[in-house]
Amino acid sequence: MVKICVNKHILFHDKIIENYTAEIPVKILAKNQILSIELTDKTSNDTLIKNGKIVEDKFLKIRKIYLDGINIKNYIYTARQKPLYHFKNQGDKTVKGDHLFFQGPWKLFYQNPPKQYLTKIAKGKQLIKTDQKHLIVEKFMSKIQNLNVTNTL
Amino acid sequence: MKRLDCVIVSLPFIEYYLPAAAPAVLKGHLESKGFTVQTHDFNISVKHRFQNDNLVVASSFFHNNSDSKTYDKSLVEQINELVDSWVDQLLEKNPRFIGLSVFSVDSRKACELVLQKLQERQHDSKIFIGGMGLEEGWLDTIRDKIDFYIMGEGELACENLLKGNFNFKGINGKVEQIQDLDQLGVADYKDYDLSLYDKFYNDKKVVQITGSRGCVRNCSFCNVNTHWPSFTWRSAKSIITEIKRTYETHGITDFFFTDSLINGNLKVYMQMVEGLANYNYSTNAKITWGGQYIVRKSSHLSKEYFSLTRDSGAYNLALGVESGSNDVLEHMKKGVTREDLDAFIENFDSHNITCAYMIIIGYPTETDKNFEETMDLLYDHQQYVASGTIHGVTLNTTMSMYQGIPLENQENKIFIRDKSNHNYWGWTSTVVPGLDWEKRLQRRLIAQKICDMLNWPTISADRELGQILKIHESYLQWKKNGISKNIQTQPDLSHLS
Repeated sequence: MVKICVNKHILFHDKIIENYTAEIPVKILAKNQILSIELTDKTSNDTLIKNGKIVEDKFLKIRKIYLDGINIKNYIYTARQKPLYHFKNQGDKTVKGDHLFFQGPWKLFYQNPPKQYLTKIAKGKQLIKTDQKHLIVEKFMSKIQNLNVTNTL
Repeated sequence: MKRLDCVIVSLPFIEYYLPAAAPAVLKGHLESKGFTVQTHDFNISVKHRFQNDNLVVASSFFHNNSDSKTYDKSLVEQINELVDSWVDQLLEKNPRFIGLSVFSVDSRKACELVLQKLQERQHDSKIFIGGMGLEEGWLDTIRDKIDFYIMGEGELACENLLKGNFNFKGINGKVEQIQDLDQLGVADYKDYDLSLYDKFYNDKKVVQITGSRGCVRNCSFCNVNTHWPSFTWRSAKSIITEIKRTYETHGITDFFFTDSLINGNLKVYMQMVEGLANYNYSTNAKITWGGQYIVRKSSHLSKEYFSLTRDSGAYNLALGVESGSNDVLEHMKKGVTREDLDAFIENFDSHNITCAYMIIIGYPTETDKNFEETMDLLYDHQQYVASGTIHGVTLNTTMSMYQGIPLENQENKIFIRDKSNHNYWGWTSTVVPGLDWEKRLQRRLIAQKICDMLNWPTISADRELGQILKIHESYLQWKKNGISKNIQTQPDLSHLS
């Protein structure tokens, strides 16, 4: 069973077998949004181990997430999961990645509207478009516009 | 002690992202023939000198037709001192030959300044110039200060110049295009300090590599075919060998192709990406490469095209998108449509291939509607900026009528030059009423605002707007002085009535 929520509103909770594509309309208008994806019925009995190797398991692999039509292929790795392990000290307290092997919500933060938010994030990673350069752009834009005004007068 | 054979230098203005290729390419070839060559990148010394103070304005000083009178006196003095230091470096090793690389029209001013100072100094070095910035009319103004000039590809002409074969075709004339690029020596960047360049690619050292020369297309706004009339290429094997050797000897993993287009010859391209992909699979090299790239119709491409392009390390490919209008693209003879671009970028997105767009604003047939279609493209493809597929856009300084572009043949038919100081930018369309410099400037500013609003990173916008400001100041001065009274600045529309 997989549960998908945005800001704790349950938008999907169903059984997923093999590949599945869910198209989920989100009508929540809050600026800050948290998408959470969770395996809700996994127990230690779902993991079969033979000779120290896992031979059968129940897990979820997130292949692609589109937010407002945007393939968030890079941003997806900013999500974090706090797994509810089957045993104490079974693994890291917080993990990142696109696989869910345990219960515990996988959470991805973003803001509304996603397109503007994600472009801002992408822009911030640019090496060639620094804030300092942007100030120069604004300065020259303003100078050119002032020239035009002076010239018109 | 044997005298140094040659010093070759690049001159401003060139973008500060990558080391200038020409001196390194010539050094590599000439040293493979037994000559001693030293190279300097004087262009990057401008960045180094002014990066904490007025770099954009100092850079614009070197642009073609910039008017020295509009610059602050102290800045001009500082530039003068910088040029003196360049001349000191040129003469320091007492070379037999001094070569000045004039990359484009924007390197002419620096070239003139260096030549003037060299003429005033005592030396017996022979001076030669070359590069895409050379043109007969301009050469006439500097002929008394140079010994030789080379128009076109320089490797074989320079080799013969240094050998003393001054009658070699191409010395003081136009070179015959080199057909076999595999015979040339490998570019050598070891004289350059690669840490000085802008972090364009990622936070690593990048070296340039040449896979082909010329272009398979003949776009109306581009003068590449004037310089390289035919499209020539290196074999995939030779390119891969150079990349592997550079990685294995210097540990450099990131490469930038100087080509006008990397994917011009599809057969060689597929061999190259397959070879590099296999190298990446079998080693931990993680080779990446970028450069100028053309949009192709996806239906013409093999099913492995995009996956091998990704696995070979394609990164931040510069796509000459030019316009969002099919009418404009057709007039430009781009050979692709907006719909082809949509399909191409979708494939890039799904295969994790990154790129940047290059756009031309104010093409002579660009109507308001066509311009809006280009702005629509920015809106529609914002999703790919958001996904990280598009790294940014270069909006440029609006359409400039450079010498040697096919569109020049249509002067007076679709545009007229307005005789201002900035005659590459100073022209008026005769087919789109009112499309003059002021209109193009207005569109450029609108495009900047839209990009800023949509969070499209605008690559080089600081430098471009600095240059635009200088062009506009000069244009307004020209207009104010009434020089325009006696010439036509608006199109003759009588034929429309």
